[in-house]
Amino acid sequence: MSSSAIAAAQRHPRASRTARTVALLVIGGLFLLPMLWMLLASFDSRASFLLRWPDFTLANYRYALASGRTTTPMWNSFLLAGGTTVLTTVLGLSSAYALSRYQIRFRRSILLMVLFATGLPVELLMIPAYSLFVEAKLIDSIPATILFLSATALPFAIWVLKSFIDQIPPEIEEAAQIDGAHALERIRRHVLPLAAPGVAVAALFTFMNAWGQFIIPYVLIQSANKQPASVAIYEFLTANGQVQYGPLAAYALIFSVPVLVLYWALSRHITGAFTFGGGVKG
Amino acid sequence: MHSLPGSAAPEAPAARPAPVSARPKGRGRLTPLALGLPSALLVVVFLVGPIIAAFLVSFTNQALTGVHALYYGNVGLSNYRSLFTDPVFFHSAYLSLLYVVLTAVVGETGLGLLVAFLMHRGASRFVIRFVGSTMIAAWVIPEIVAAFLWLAFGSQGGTLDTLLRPVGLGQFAWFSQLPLILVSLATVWAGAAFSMLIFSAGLRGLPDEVVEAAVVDGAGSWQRIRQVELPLLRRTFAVNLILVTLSTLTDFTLIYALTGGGPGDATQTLPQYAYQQTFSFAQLGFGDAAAVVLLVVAAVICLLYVRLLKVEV
Repeated sequence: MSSSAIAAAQRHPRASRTARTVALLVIGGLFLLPMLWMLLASFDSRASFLLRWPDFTLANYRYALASGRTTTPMWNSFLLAGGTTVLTTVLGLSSAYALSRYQIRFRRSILLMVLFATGLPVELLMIPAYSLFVEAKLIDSIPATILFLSATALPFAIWVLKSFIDQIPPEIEEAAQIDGAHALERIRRHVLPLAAPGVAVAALFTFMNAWGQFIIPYVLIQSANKQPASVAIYEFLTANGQVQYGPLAAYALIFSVPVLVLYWALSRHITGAFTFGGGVKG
Repeated sequence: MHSLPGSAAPEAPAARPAPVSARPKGRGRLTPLALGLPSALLVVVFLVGPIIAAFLVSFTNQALTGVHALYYGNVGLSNYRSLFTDPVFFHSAYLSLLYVVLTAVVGETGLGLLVAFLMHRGASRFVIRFVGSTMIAAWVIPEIVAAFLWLAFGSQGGTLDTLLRPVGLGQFAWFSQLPLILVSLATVWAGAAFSMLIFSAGLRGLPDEVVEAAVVDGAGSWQRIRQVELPLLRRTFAVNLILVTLSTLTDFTLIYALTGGGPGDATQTLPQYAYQQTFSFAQLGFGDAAAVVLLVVAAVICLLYVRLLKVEV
C-alpha cells in the first residue's frame, strides 16, 4: 500500500476497514483454492488438474478405499504417529517435570541444549539416520523408526511441557508429597490435569509431524507393506506415468482429515504455543 | 528445615535415600534422574547417534551398492575436498539461498506479517476466521498432500494460470520455465500460517498503553507500525526469521515430490543434492559429508536462536 493510500484510509476509518476486509478475503481465497480443488476433484468422475464443478461420483473414494490400498498404509501411519506421540508425550512430561521442579546440576545447560535441539529439523537427519540404521541393522523396523521420530520430537515436547508446568504453582503438589505419593503418581494426579493444555499442544504437534512425515519412513522403511500413507501417496503419484487425479484427491483428503480435525479440536489451546520472545510468555 | 523450591538443600545420602514423605521439594537426586533418564537415553541413541554416525561415515568411501558397500575404508578428508570442489554443490548452495530468501524471508515472513497486521487492526470475525483457518489448514495438511495439490494447481493451463490470465500467463509452463518460483509459491502456501501465528501472538502481547499512547499522540497508521509496533516486535521478528529459515533451508519433501530437484538441477537445493548423492549415486560417505555440512550450517543458525531466547531459560 502506498503511503498516500494509507493516509487516505486513515481519514476514512470505514474505508480502511473495507480495504482490510477485501485484502484478507483475497488472501484467504487464494489459500483456499488448492484445497477446494482437492475436494471437488475427489467427487469428480472426470477429474483433472482443472478446478471445476464435479460430475458427481463416489467411485474415487471406492477406488481409494478398495483392498489394502488405503487400509494398510493408514494403519502404518497410525502406528508410526500414534506410537511416536505416546512415547514422546510420556517421556516429555516426566523430563519436563524433572526440569521444572527439581534442582538439577547443569539444569541451565540441559535447557539450552533442549532449546538448541528444538531448532534442528528432522528432515536434516534423514541421511545420518539412514547411516545409523544401516550400521545398526535397523532398516525396515517400525519400532526403531518410532524411536527415531520420538527422539527428534522430544526437545520441542519437553520445551512446551516445561513452560506449562512452570506455570502450575508447586504448592498444589506439596500436600501430595507429604502423603508420600511417588513422583509419577504426583505427575499423574496433580500435574497432568492442570498441564492438560500443554500436553494437548505437545501431543498435537508431535502427531501432526509424525503423521505427515514422508522422507524419514521413505528412507528408513523399505517393505511396501510397512510403508505409511504419506509414502503410499507418493508412490501413487509417481506410478503408472499418468496422475490419476480423482482417486488421488480422495486418498489425499482421507489422509488429511485426521490432522485437520485434531488441530481444529485442540485449536483453542494452541495460541499460547506461538508466543516466542515477545510480550507474554507462553 | 523447610527448603524453598530451587534452593540448595543438602542431599539425602544416596545409599539410603530418605523416605519420600520426608523429602522436601527440590532435594531428591535419584527422582529427577529417573524421570529424565529415558528421554536422555533416547536422545543420545537416536538423535546424537545419527549425527555421530554421519560424521564417522563421512570420512569413509562407504557406498550403498557394489564393492564399497561391503568393503570400505577411511579416506580422510577426501569427501569434503570433492564436495568443496564440486561446482554442482555450489550451484545447490546458491539455489538454497535463493529459495530461502524467496520463501522464508519474502514469502512467509512478509505474508505472515501482513496478514497478522490486517487481522490485528480489526475486521469482521467471520473474515478473520476464514483467513486464519484456510492458512492454517494449508499448513496442517501433510506436505506430501500439499505437493500433490500444487502439482495440479501449477499445471500448464491450471488454476494458477487461470488466476494469472489477466497478466498474460494463461498457458505458462511453470514446471519447465520457472520451477524454483513454483516450488517457492507452494512452500509459502504451506508455511505462511506459522509466521502469521507467531506475529499474531506477538501483536496480541504488545503492551496496550504504549500503542494507545502512540495513537493519542496522533501517530498515523504507518508511523504506528514503523515506530512503535515493529520495534517492539523485534525479537518476535528475529525468532520467526530464524525458525522459518531453518525449516525452509532443510525442507525436502515438497521439492522432492513436486520436481524431484529438476528439471535438470533447477530446483536442486542442498537437501536434494545430499539425497541424490546418497541414494541415486549410492555414495553414502559423500552424501554424509554433504549432510554434515548442512548440519553445521543449521547448528550455527540454532545457536543464534538459543542466544536470542537464552534470557528466558
